[in-house]
Formats: sequence, structure tokens, C-alpha cells
Amino acid sequence: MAGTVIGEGLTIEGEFSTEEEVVVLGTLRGTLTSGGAVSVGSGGIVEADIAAHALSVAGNVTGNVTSQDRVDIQTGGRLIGDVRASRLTIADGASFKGNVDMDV
Amino acid sequence: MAELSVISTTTVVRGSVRGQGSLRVDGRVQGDIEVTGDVALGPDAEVQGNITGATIAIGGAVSGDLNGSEAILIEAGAKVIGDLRAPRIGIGDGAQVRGNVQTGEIPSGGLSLSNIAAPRPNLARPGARPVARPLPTRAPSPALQSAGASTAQSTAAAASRPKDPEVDKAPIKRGPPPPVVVAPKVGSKGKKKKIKED
Repeated sequence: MAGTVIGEGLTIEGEFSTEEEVVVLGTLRGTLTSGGAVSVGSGGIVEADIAAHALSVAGNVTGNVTSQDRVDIQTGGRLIGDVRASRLTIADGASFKGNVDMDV
Repeated sequence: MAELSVISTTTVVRGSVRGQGSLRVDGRVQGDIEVTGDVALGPDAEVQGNITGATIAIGGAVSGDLNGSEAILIEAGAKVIGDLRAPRIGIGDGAQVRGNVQTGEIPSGGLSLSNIAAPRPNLARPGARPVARPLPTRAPSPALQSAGASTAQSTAAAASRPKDPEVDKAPIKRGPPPPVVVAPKVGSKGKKKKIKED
């Protein structure tokens, strides 16, 4: 469980940047920059523009997403915002609203 | 309680960190940390902001006030610039602290210290108080003396008061019952006598 964990009940407001993995089970507002993978767990809330190597959404994300690798919106996950990534998967039952740019 | 949150080594947060549960910081936080659970700062952690929590353990650097509802533990190698307030505070050998340190219950501790500090200057003041008290007593007393002694004094003062008869009428009626206002009483007595002299 290396990296940063924003636990359930915790709220971070402001600029957040890291080179490691991030797991969001609480709330993050502002901007999120990560050189590693970002995982928004079920119940996690992110209201921020996200720049990450990879993003997995099982919770609620509002903001534009830029990823070097991939973005996965899982069942029950919800993403509102534009996605710029080379790979994007949207699982059955996921919610998504926004534009997709896969560098085609 | 909610689970443990971790801000890892390479993480930088510019903003506030608040909420329930405990928090471990190994990275940098520029902003206030306010959690219901414990806060632990690793040796490489750097926080510029106030920290509020139950038990706060510091191994890194903090520039800001620490408020622990249970305890504050400053470990060896830690560096803290700011005020410390908690029921229990421990500072380890080799820790660097600059700021006000206050142990005991946060509300009562603050009050008792201020109360202890306040009476001391008051006890030292008695020398000054007698000086201040005689002034008001002296101010009335000359009036009383002058009123009583004015009979013997120059009549110029009495002559300069043509309104005396008018003023006297009311005081005479009020005379028998002790008036509430002192000044008219004093003045009237003096005036009466002066009038009698005239």
C-alpha cells in the first residue's frame, strides 16, 4: 500500500502533486497531479483536474483528465469531464459525460 | 473512526487537509491539517501550517502551531517552530522546538495561565492605587472645606452669585430630607451662609 491514501472522511482542498500512486477514498478538491496511478475508490470524490500516468474511477470524478497511459471507468464509477488518454475503457454500468481525445 | 490516510514522500499538498480518521505525512503539506484522529509526521515530512489532531507525533519539520486534544510527541530529530498545546506534551532529546508550550487541558489551561498572570501585576499595583484613590477624595473635600470655610472667605465669591436666592429656594425645600445629589447640597449650604452674611 505504497503511495498516498486519502482515506474515507478526509478532505484535501488545494494543489495535490505526487510521483507515486494515489488512492482516493475521501474527497479531493483542486488539482491532482501524479506520476503514478490514481485510483478513485467507490465513495471517493474528486472535484479536480487530474493529470496522471493512469486513472481508475470507481467513485465520482468531476474534472478534466489527462493520462499518459490509460483511463478506466469502472462499474459504478462516474466521470464528468474531458478525457485525454491513449486508452480509455468504460465498463458496463459506468457513467461518463465528456469529450474523449485518444490522440488519433 | 475512518481509516488511515497517508501523504507519501513525494507528495506535495498546497491547501488544507481536513476530516475524520488518522493521517500519516511523509511528504510536504503547505496548509493546515485538521483531523479527528492522530497525526504522525515521518522524519522527512515537512508541514507549513497548523496541525490539529488527537495525538500528534512529529518526526519531521513543522512551521505552525500544534493543537493536540490528547498529546503531542516531538521525536528526536524533529524541528518545530510554533506553539504547542495539548494535555500531554513530550519533547524528545535532540528535538528542536521554538515557540510557546502549554500543557494541561486546552480550555482551562489557557484560562488559568492568564488568570495567574493577571493578578500578579494587580498585586504589584497597590502602590499605584492609593495614589489614584486620594485624587477623587481630595477633589470633593476641597469643595466641602471651601463650602464650610467660604463663610470666612472673601465675599467676592458670594457677590458673583446673583442667582443664589433662586437656587436657595429649592434647596431649602429639599433641605430636611437628605438630598441624593451631593453637589447642590454643598453649594446651597455655602450659599445660605453667604446670603445670611449679606
